[in-house]
Amino acid sequence: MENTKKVDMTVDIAGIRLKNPVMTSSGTCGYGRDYLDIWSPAELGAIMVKAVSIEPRNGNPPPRIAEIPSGVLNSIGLQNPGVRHFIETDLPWLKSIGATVIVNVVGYTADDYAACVELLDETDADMIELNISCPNVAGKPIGADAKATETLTNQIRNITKKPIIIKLSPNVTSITEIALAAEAGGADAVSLINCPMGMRININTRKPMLANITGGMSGPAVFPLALRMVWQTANAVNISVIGGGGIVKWEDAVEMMMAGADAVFIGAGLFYDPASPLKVIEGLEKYCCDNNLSNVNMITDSLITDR
Amino acid sequence: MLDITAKVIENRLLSEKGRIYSLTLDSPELSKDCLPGQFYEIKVGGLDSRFLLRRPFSVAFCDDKTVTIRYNVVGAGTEWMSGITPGQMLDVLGPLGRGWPVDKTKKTLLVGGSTGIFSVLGAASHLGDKSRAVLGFRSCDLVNSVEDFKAFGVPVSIITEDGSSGRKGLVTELVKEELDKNEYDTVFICGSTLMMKSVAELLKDYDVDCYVSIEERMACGVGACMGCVVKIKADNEQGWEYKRACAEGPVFNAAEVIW
Repeated sequence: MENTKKVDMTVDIAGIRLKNPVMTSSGTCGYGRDYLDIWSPAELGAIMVKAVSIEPRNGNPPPRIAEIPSGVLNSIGLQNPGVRHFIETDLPWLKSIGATVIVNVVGYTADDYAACVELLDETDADMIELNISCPNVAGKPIGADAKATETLTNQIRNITKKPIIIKLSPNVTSITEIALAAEAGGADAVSLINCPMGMRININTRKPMLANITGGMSGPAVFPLALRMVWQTANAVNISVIGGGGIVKWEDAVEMMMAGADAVFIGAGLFYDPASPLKVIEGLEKYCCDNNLSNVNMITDSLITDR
Repeated sequence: MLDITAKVIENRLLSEKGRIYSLTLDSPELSKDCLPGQFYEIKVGGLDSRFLLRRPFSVAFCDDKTVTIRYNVVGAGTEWMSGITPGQMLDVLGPLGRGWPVDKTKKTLLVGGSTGIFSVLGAASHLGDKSRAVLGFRSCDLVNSVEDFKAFGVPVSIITEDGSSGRKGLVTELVKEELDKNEYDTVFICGSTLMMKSVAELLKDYDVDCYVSIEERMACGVGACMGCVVKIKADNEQGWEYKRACAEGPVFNAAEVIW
């Protein structure tokens, strides 16, 4: 029998219909222009842009990058030109080309987050992702504490009607405790994982490979950790789950969705294969065709745990 | 910027001691719009994703059909590259970054130290006898690529730290002697940070434009990740900003670099 059925690649995340379930993660795709020769943000389910803060930030001193087996260690430190610059230059362009835009927001204090979101609330940004989990800035991140996560989420909930995504840190004892706190605070979705913290040393100089000493790990090295946390989180919350961490190829995305992710993000995988988002979209579609799935969302949570 | 697979036609050992190789790709597409001082990111390790990051290499020279890069073995990634044989396919991203501001109406001094000579060799291939090269190496068994500079019509002077080839000393001495001739409009430098910093310092006393190609640990290579930043003077309150070696660089005006 000839298979003429087309797979419905759209997914609903936090009440918004996306073209497909594939995103590029904050910090790995700039503000959408850097990979234009290979893919356009409009081809993705959504683009999660580099974090913006209320004031511009320098970020950390270099070296900011070190390689690890099957991955990379980074300590960028949230260098960005500030939310106003983003709203004036990058956001209008992203919307004009038809991209769905998730704005990653960061702050030193709850008031910083609030000030950013107030500005973004008046724009046509599609969703807000609160970055409460950056491993590369001083102090304990809000995302390491359930109560602080709930309080911040709730404060931002009262400022905007736009969907709020909380980006979760893996550097916690219980990922589900923080995910549930985000849900209780009024979040529409959680995204995970941000980078687990790591470190490398140059044995000849006896110095850390990163100027900031520690950094965040990403790439295939963290994929099993991310998959486990997505699975636990998806089983705990009722809101949308956006899963990522070490996805390089479409098979990884299928695993992530089977574990419970409604959508996936590709981050450091872009460094290995810049065309990976398009290949993952194509691979997911083919997987659905081959397995007689009419909608890509049928992969989500299709894990069979019975032996 | 292209994201393509290209065939290797040569991977030749240039210096046994330095483990320096010359790798040529058969790719008219990659060579088409490549400017000297730009670079390519090459995927190493084949299908093995143990090496997540591509390795950045400046273009040494191009012709209509081929691109040549040169590298020395410094770690597991370049160790893998040293085993590449002709016919093998490599995933290559590029050309990337902003290269040397080559201008044949300007007399240019090319300053290269150790593996930094490959980036200035790219400039030599465009400038020919409008340029002169001064190259510094640690010792004679690390000296390489000199014949290639000469083949492009570029006169070359060599200095080694131990005096085993050419003069004994540091490349800064040769730079000073050349500049005292008052013949040069522009200087291009690529080498260790220490070397580039001391040459740039020396040049403050001369009326020449000076450009440096800066190497920094790099991930994406296209400007997206902000990993490879360099501190550059800026017209803001603090007087500087971090710029990306892969996007605004790797070539920067030396007067703007904060060393």
